[in-house]
Amino acid sequence: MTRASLWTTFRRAIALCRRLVEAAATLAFGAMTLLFAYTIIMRYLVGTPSRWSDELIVILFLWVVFGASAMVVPMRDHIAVGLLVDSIPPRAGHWLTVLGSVVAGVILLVSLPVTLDYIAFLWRERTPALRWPLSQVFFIFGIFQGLAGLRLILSAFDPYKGDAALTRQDEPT
Amino acid sequence: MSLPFVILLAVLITLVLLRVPIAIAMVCAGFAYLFAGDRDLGLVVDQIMNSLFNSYVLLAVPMFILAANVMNAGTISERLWRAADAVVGSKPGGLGHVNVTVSMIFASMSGSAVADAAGPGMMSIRMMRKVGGYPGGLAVAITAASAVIAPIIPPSIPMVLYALNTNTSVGALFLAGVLPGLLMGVSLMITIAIIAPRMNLPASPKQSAKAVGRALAGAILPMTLPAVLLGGIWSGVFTPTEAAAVAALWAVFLGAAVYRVLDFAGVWRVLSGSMRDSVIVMLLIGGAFLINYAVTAERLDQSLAAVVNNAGLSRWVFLAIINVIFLILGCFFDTGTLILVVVPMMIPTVLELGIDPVHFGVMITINIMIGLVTPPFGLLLFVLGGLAKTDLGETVRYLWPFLIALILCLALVTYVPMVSLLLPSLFGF
Amino acid sequence: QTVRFSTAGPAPDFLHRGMEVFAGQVHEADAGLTVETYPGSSLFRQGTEVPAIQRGNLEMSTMTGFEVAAQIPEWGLLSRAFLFRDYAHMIEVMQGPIGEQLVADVAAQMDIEILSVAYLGTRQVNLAEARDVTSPDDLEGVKLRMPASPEWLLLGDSLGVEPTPMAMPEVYVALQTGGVDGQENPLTIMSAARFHEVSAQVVLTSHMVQPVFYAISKPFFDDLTEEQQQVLREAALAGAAWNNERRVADEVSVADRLVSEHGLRVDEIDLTPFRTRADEVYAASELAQDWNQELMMQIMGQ
Ligand code: NA
Ligand code: NA
Repeated sequence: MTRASLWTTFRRAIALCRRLVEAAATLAFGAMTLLFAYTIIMRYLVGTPSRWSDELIVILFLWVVFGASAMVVPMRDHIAVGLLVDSIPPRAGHWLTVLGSVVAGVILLVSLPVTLDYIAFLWRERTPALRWPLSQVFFIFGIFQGLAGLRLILSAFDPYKGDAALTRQDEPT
Repeated sequence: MSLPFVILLAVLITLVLLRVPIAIAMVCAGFAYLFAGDRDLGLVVDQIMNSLFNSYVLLAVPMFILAANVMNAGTISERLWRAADAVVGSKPGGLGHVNVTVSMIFASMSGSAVADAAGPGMMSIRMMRKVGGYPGGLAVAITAASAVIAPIIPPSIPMVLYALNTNTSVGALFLAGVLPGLLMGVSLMITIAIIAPRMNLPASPKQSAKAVGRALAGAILPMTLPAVLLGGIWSGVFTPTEAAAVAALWAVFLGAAVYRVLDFAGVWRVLSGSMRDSVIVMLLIGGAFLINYAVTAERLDQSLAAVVNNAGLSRWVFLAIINVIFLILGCFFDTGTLILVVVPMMIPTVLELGIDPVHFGVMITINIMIGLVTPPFGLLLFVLGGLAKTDLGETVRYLWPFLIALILCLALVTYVPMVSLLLPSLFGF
Repeated sequence: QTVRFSTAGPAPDFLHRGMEVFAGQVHEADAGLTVETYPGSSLFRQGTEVPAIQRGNLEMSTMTGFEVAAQIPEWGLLSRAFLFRDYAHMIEVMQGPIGEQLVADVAAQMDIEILSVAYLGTRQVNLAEARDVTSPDDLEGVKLRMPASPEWLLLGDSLGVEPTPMAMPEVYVALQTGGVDGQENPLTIMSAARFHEVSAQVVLTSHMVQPVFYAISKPFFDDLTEEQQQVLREAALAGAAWNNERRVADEVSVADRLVSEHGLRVDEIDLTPFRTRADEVYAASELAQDWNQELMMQIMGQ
């Protein structure tokens, strides 16, 4: 296989992953809405308030926020300030953006081991209602930190395609 | 200010200027701060995850985003805005008034400014552009300024926190917020009326009575939404946070079952888009929690309170200085820290100066909320600019008159205690 | 050295002001120690302080019985309804051999040193609409706001209510609108949150007399000089005593004011039916099987 076709295969695999994660996150987001309805119905109509639905909503949302930030939402869709880089010549602006991405990516990746160590340390703590280990609930942050760091650095090598390889270019909705 | 904190600011500002997403820049600045202070880098995940995990009321934000997006896709927002346009659109700036009115109605069901901005606010922005042909920056400016009203008119999350931490009556605070909230809405409308001819704000052609009737009839069902939500909240069926999800489900029902413009694929698309918008907003809020940890750990909040308490100021000067300081520091402190730590520490001084804590609470809440839209570092400006994809500089250009109007309201509330205290005193608080 | 001391208690609460008394006394002793207090969960969120201490990110917190129970299942009995009869009973137990065993267990298994025992208050039921309550049966179907963990739900079962999880910032409006029928908290907290404005009645169920511990990281404490340790111990006793004295007095005066100033109905009731129901609920509970039953009986019989 040539380097180019390897790269293409890699991008296809990533794109598939991304679509799966996007579908899961969308499903979870819809589930949150229905869980709210379930909470209201159980408390107001049935009279036996749910003991776990509020907590499940929060946990689902944490996973949606950091899972989708890691895999679904392109870095350039996140809220940023173009004040400086847009007001200087495009080439210089481009290189400054690359510099920022690489520095941020390196900081995220270098500190990843400590984040993972901290998440592992939380094995002894559990969520109040569902009693799920916090280490599992918070693990999504480790995934976010790792993938976000990787994407920021990749975007430097190939600023227009690197990030896009991990996040297909959808029309923003 | 310690060296690690200076490093935090340096990293944050540098990365933001290099166009790194603000949320990521905050996380990186947090790591740099902890590293420079030789502290546990694990505090980043600890603070962000635990803060989000414990902020149940923030869930109103994604749910109102969903509700607004569903209303958009289900032709509901268009029906509402066509009706509004038919009635007031022929006046220059008419849709601007509608935007403010929507926010005042929304304020009576939600206690969160971010929820107003990201939900109905985003709907207003889309419709002002689409129906009224407004420039994006102006739509964002009016939306940001009017979102500030959400926590002033009850219910209000910041006021509940204030009451809990200062031994003040929640009921009295809620009542005390009503007039100032209305006042802020009216003053924004007056501002729109003043700038409309000067800025040549768009006006739609005047419509026939028949056309107006048709537009209103088309919007009858969607107009029941506030009644459903307010009725549900104030009769105890659901909480203000849950009301956000009810709004979304109500909109799905209208769009899918009544107007039949939303099929499964449509609902899925809206869910997916709302999910993305929510992720973008919440990641930013998560990052803000981390910066807030650094501010608290540096005890900047407590030093501030100590300085103000010990300055020996007279009542009127004290209030003026508090207002100025809080407006400026609104960029660095999160609402929670200010209300949970700084404000309670000032309460003894407040009482000593003979200031009613209810009056002070309303003033402080308005002040902190205005801080959310004060350039260059207003959280609401970032959220709206990011979601609406508008340029911050353009928004700020349009924002000034509204900011001035809000600050005038704040001055009035500050120096005429009656504005806030009239209703509570009538109700015997 | 700096001692960072975090609490979930709001800044004006006796708990936090007691911590400032503690900080002041440590400062005066001039033993090279500075105490920084962080009220209102401003540094670490409620419930995350113990892991923060164990991780070395925090030196002290006001640790609750629930937090001990979370890591030492045997001590889950601290979350039992009607464990202590009243403040005096709680203090007596905590200053006796059982309290010493708790201190030893927490030191050995959690790496945390308990310096003193403060009083968080006695939890009472408060209802939005008044009703006659003589036994748990009278509270059947009452939606009572409580935290969502299994220990709390068990406690709710023993009161006969329908436990209803709800975030604290939403409780005031929920009481006002009938979203919940009531909530339970110590009177001081109920009064600080102004729940009496939207309530008609307080039923003095006294279902939980809550101790809260001045907890310090053991590795940090062990590294201090003996003189410094002594300063901290004495100041912790003083801070807790300051809190305890005022809170006990305040609970009496709040109960009076609820009647005279706010027109609430305050019911002092015979708790025997509640105790009987609690005995049944806890005997049948799987969760309670992990608890040290012998110790529990010993406390309740004392
Ligand atoms: Na409101
Ligand atoms: Na608005």
